Amino acid sequence: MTVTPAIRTMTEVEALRTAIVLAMERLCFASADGFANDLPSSDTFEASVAFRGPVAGSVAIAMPRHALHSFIAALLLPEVADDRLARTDFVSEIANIVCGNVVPRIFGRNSTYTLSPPELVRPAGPPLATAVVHFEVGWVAAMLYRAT
Amino acid sequence: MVLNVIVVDDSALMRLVISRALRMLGLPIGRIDEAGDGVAALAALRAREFDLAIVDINMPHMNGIELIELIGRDAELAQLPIVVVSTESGKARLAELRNRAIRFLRKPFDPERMLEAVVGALGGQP
Repeated sequence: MTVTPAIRTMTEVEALRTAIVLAMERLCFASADGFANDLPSSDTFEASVAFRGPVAGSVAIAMPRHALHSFIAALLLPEVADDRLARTDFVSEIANIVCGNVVPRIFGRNSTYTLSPPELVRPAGPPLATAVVHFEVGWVAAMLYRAT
Repeated sequence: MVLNVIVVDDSALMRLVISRALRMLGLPIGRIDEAGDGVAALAALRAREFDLAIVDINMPHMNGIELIELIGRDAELAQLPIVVVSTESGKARLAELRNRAIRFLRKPFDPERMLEAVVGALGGQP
C-alpha cells in the first residue's frame, strides 16, 4: 500500500495532538477544548528535543508565556508557578514527553531512538507538521522537524 | 518498615512531581532523596542506603541506562529495585529493561500505574 504525503501529514498531526493531550491531561489535569494547525501569534516559551535513530529530527513545543503560571499551578505545584527554573523545566519536560510519545507513534516502536536533553530553542526552518491544542487557560503547540 | 527512595531525573519539576506522587500511593515511604543525573545518583547510592530507585533515562552527564549498568556491576547495589520512568518506549528498550527485571513507567504516568510499577519492583512486598 502506498501512503500519500497528505495522509502521512495527517498522521503526524494526529500523533502530535494525541501526545499533547496525554501530557497535559496526566500532568496538569487539563482537558482539550479544541484543535488547530496554525501557531497562534503570541509571546511564547519554547523548547525542543532532538531524536536520533533510523530517522533523525526534533520535536519543538511552544506555549504562551501568560499561560505558564496556570499550567504549572494545575500540576499541583502552585508554590513554584512563578519560578523561572520551574517554567523552563515545565516546557522542557512537556517537549521531552511529547517527543518520546510521538516518535514511536510516527516512526514505529521496533527501533530504538535516543532523545537529547531538551533545549530552549525552536529548530530553524518550517516544521513537517504542527498541531495546536487549546485548553481553558491557554494553548500548547507541537512541531515535528526532520533532520536534513 | 519504611521505604527510602532516590528519584533520579534531570528535571527538578519532575522530581517534585514524582516525589509527591510517591507520597500519595499509600506506601510506607520514608526518606526521598533526589539526584539530577546518574553521577549524582551513584554518589548518593554509595553514601546512603535505599530501598528503591526511580530513574529517568534521558539525562545529561550519565544517563539512566549507564547508571543502571553501573548499579548492576556494583556488588553492593546490584539488588536495588529500580523503576525506570521515561518517555522512551521503543520495543528494544523495553525488552532490554525487562531482561534486567526492571519495571518501566511511561511518562506521563497516572498514580495507578506508578503503584503497580513500584510494588512490582519491590517484588509485590511494599
